[in-house]
Amino acid sequence: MNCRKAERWLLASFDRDLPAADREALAGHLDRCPECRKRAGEYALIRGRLAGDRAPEPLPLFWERLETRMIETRSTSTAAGAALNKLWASAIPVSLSLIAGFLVATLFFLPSSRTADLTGPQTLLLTEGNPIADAAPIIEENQRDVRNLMVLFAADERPVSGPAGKR
Amino acid sequence: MDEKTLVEQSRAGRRDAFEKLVQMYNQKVFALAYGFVRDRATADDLTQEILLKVYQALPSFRVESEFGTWLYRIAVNHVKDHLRKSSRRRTVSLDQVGEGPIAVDGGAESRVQEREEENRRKEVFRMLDTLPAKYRMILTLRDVEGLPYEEVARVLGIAPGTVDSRLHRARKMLRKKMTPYLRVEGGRP
Repeated sequence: MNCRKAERWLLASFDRDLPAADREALAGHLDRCPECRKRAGEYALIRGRLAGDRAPEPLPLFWERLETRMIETRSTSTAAGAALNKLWASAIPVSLSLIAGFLVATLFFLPSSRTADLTGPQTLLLTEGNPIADAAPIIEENQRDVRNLMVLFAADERPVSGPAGKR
Repeated sequence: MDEKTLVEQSRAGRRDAFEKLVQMYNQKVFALAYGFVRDRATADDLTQEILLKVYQALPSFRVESEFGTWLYRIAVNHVKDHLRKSSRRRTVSLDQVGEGPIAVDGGAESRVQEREEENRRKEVFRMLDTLPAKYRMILTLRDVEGLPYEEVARVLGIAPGTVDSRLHRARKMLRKKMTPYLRVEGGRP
């Protein structure tokens, strides 16, 4: 056994019982090694001083002082709880009236139709409209000449808009 | 009345039951706090705060757990917080200096020896105070308070293997720091 191992076993022996063989090996090493024996003495000395420290008593009237603090804490938390409940009680109707006001404002002041800003195809898509409703009579016309005329008139009726409309 | 019943009654709001629990544990908690701050008034204040915290946290305590371990864990965490917040080093108040009555009889010599021993003990604690917090904590719980090895693991919430290695390092560090003083004493126990 080397000194390093002896120190490890020595420290371990402070917390648990070593197996008999290890205990004997450690004792044998301590007998032979004055440095480790000295070290063991120092550890024992330090441990003895740490364990021998007797803390004084807490200050007088410990429970009475603690009880006062407990009561104070309880009354503080009760008061805080009551204040919080009161705040909640007034907050609920205020919140409800604010929400109602917001809804009313939304209904009255916002544009009635949101489709105003949309393009024709977007509006048709939203309203699930038929995109070729205007062209239906032309498509359904059986006479070719009449259909051609209808196409011509329809083309003239289209509003001129943007560069595509310029002729 | 056993501890479990007292805990249950305290949880139900019985202050007399909590008073009994306080009587059972206040000295232990005080000793733990004192082991770190070495000042009676501060340790007393910390003990009050810890037990107040315990009282407030009682509703969240699981009855199947070990009350003592739970309480110690709260105490250790509270002391850790205190040490973290306070940069103040260990102080010794006047009532700890040991200004006892002057011995006029044959006890004078033993009184001197006692005073010497007390000073040596203070030296060990002064050195303990210079260790990193985790080593100081584990040595205080194990070697000062004498908590069982497994209890130390539970209180600190670490594995027994970690307790083993941390204790080993802590003791070696403390001995190293104490070596010059022990040499002066000539290794005399």
